Amino acid sequence: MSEALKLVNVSKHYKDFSLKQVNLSLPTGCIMGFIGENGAGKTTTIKLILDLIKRDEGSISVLGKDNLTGLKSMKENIGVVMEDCFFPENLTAENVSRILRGIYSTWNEDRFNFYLGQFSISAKKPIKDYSKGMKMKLSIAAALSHDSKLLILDEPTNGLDPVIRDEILDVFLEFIQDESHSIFISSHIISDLEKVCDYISFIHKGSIVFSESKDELLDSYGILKCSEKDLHSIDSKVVIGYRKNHFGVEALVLKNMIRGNFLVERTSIEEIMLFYTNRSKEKQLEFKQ
Amino acid sequence: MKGLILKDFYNLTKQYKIILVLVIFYLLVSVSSEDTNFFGGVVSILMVMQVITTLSYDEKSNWDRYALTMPISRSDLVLSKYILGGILLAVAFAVNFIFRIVAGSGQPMEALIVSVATTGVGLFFMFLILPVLFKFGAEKGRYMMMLIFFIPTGFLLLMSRMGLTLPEAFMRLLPTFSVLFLILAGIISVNASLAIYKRKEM
Repeated sequence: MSEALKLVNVSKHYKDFSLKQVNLSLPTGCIMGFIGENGAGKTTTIKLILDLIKRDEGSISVLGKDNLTGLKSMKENIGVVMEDCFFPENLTAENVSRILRGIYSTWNEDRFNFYLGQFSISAKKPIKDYSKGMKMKLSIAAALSHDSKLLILDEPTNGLDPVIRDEILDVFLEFIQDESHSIFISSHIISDLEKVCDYISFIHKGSIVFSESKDELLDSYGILKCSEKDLHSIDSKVVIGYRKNHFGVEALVLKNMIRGNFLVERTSIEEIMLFYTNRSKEKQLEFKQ
Repeated sequence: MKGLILKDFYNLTKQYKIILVLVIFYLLVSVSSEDTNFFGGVVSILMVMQVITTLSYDEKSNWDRYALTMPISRSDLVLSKYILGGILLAVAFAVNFIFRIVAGSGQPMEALIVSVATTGVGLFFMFLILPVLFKFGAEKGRYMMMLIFFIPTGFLLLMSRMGLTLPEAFMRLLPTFSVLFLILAGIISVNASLAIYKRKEM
């Protein structure tokens, strides 16, 4: 199976933050969700993929080519939506179409106009009068209106209302119908990702915690509800994290490794992420004591 | 490249009314004070200022970062600003030349020489400020620019205060020197901008 995106041992060091040995692999035809809290390194990773910043080590290949050598020609086949980058504010959607016709050799004006219609964006309104949702939609329309095979989306649904978010997710699902298309999407609205993704990669403090298929994740993890005493009887390697409540404890566990008569409930990606980030600290502290 | 320049022109169309008013204002000042040199200089500098305006619009929307996700290289982004400046200065040149023919002595040769000279000054300022703007960004760059403008002005002022004049022989060769100097400045400026921009983390 070919890979639309592959990162091997990619690192980038700043004074106060490091991205450490990131490995990711997105098979062609799939959607990978990239999750993690703010400042975990999501945008840094995306900037490294696009060579907006220089990596310190590792290798990155995009659509089968190294991102440092083949990038300019390859960008014809990449559509990018980033939260805080946009067209200058005096332009209109009509201007944008003309401009992009001069930039992409595969620019498809009809398709762009179709999306403008679908998203109800007026062609003559200057961008500075756009709402946040409209800006995102215009960006998405632009990303889809050339010969894109890979979409790289950084928080595309952030700050948008549920109706628009759903509308946008539908557009992505339509895009992925073509087997040669792939999507890499970062977000902290995890319910959105859970709806559409095949793979979930979780980054925490600059390191990848896991990168697995969504179904496998949901199959292998579960929420265990029991008393605190019972929890200590379980092998601590199986427990990812736990939180106390009035009735006992809730713990994220590797479901299939639990022996004995315990009640293990189904979990969600959001809970997995929360237990890994917040609760793990608590757990580590207590186990050390 | 075509797309980039088109983008800047679309962005500037919002400004053209203000520019037009300014041009007409300076035209009237120039005519009423019978100082035709003044107008040419103002138009050239005004055009160079437009390049800075487009840069600050780009900065505001993080356009460069976005553009680099498209089939555009870093050098395309740098060169497009020089080309834009060149086009705008060519317009300034045409305006200035026509103005001199109509309002000046009416001699085409003299009009041509003076227009070329003012355009050259505009070009020189553009070569001077673009690397600074690429390095520090349009907002910080504006202040750096003031500083840069003061250095040659201050130098000339100092020279005239001290009663220094340039030797006759030098003055005769000045046109040739200026052209060579401008070409050299252009080469250095473009290369410096490219080098600065290549290393920039977006």
